[in-house]
Amino acid sequence: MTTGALTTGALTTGASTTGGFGDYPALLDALHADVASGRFVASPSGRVLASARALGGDGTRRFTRFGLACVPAPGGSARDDVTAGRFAEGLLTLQREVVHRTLTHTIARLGERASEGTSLLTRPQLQADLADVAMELQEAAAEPAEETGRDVRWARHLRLTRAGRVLLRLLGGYSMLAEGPGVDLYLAEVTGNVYLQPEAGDGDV
Amino acid sequence: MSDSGRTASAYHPDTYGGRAGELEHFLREAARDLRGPGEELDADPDAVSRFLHLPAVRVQQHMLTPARYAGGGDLLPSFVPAEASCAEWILAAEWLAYGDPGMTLASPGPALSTAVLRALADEAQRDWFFTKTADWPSWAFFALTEPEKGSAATELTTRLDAAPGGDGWVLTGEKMYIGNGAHARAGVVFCRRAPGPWGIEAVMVDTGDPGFHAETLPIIGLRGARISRLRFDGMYIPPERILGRDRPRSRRGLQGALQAMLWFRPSVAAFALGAGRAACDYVLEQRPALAGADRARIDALADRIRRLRRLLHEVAAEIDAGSPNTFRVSGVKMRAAHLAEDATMLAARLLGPASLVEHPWLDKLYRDVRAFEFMEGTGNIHRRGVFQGLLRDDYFTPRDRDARPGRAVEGVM
Repeated sequence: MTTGALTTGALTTGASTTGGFGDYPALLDALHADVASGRFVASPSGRVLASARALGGDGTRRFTRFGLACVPAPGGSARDDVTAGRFAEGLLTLQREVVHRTLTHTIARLGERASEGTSLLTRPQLQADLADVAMELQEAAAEPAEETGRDVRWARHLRLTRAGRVLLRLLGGYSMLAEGPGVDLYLAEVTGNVYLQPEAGDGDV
Repeated sequence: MSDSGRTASAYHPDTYGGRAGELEHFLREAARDLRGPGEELDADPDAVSRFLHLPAVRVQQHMLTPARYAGGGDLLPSFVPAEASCAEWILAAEWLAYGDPGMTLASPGPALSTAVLRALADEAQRDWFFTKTADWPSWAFFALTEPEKGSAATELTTRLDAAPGGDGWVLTGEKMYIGNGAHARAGVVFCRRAPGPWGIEAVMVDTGDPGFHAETLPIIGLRGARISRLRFDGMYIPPERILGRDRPRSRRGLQGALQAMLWFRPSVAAFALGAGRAACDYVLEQRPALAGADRARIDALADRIRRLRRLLHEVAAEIDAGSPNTFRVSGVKMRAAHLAEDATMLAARLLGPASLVEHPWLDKLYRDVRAFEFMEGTGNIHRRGVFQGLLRDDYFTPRDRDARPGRAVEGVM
């Protein structure tokens, strides 16, 4: 399993206009290692999502997409509430960083594009969309680190998901490429679906 | 698959000359066959070759091809029309996408090119193109989008230069995000012969000719569409392959692109509505006892689907009547694409934690529907279109054509 701590700047430090995309599974592995000292952290429903590489040839695998796999939580997985809470907060940090990286990439990519002789970034609607995403990220980063419940975390995940989808719309067909930013945002959504989503009817937002 | 909600034909019973019931019943049944293959296609986009015997896979080729070239006679009932109207095609498109959007776009046929051929081609050109796409199974592509310019038709840079010696033309450039491009036998390519909007041409290409290169791009969803990158490396184009070559320049290349987009934006909206409805029905199949606030959220979405479907059939009828409202077409397409995303996200929510892991078909649909946003123009382009319609006071339906109670005073304040 990949080791190393996930820090807030881990993604943005390496953000560039050319990518670094597709590393979500490795970053998720790093989060497992950071929070649970080398063990996997189980979801509330008893599953583990991690890179296919880290999970090895587990025959119980039911889901593998773009390097990420899901299995029933192996024996020894961390299941206590404190670890689960720290892991959930880490997932939101990871998602926020992925969205932030995509925002940086989107601005750079659209800035290189021109239409009718002017940069696409001069379009008011596009400027507004990018600004909305930036404000959402800023707000997400400023949220107090005090103890929060599952419903609140789920709401934060949904807001980040919406922000990410705004960027994907701006990126057009490029956002569907498996080697582009869309894949990491999709994997962050799947991870939220497994680890952060409350049971249906549990105070949805 | 369940059939929740009112059907499209309930709104416009006369649109299809009384055939809507039969056609819709056939499509509903045929679409059932697509879901399993759709999952296989997600894992292997070339798997469509294993499902060419399915009637639903034959529908696109048949409905988008002139009658004398259309195949499928042994697989399709006689009331499935060849060279379908826009209204007929969107009825089919919604049901096919309800079965599986990936399988729909993977099916052989002329696809978007058919609208350009209808708008610009002479008889010989139609014969050249549709003879190729009638040879089952054959795919065709429509190549407008470019790597750095998107689908801005007036800004494309792929060049059409006079061939040395003066007989014919040479095509040079790149196209991006082209459905079935790497597997097609023929296609229509938009290119620039001269500066300005009237310097745009639409040419037919044979992918077996020298200078044609294509590769399938790895994508996240709608993998059956086999989205491709194309490169034309000094490809020779005979003079007779320029569509509308006998027309004035103002009435050929660019007009063909606009006609095609106008015709197929409702198609994309239909795909999106079909996929969105499939997501809602899937939830009800998996959770038949769904009640309370969760049930209300599904019902609200189903209500949006019905309303958008009504608008969709209105704009399609206007297109068929030769009086399209491009602003309303834009609005319907954009809203339908967003609705499909909303539906799959709600389905993932209502089926509980890890639903995307436990329901592979839902996960596939969740990824597929994102493509509708950028097919035939992104949402922001359509927003601008709607705004232009507002400026021209031409977005809302004229009141004398709208008989809903209270409509006469709606929006007065």
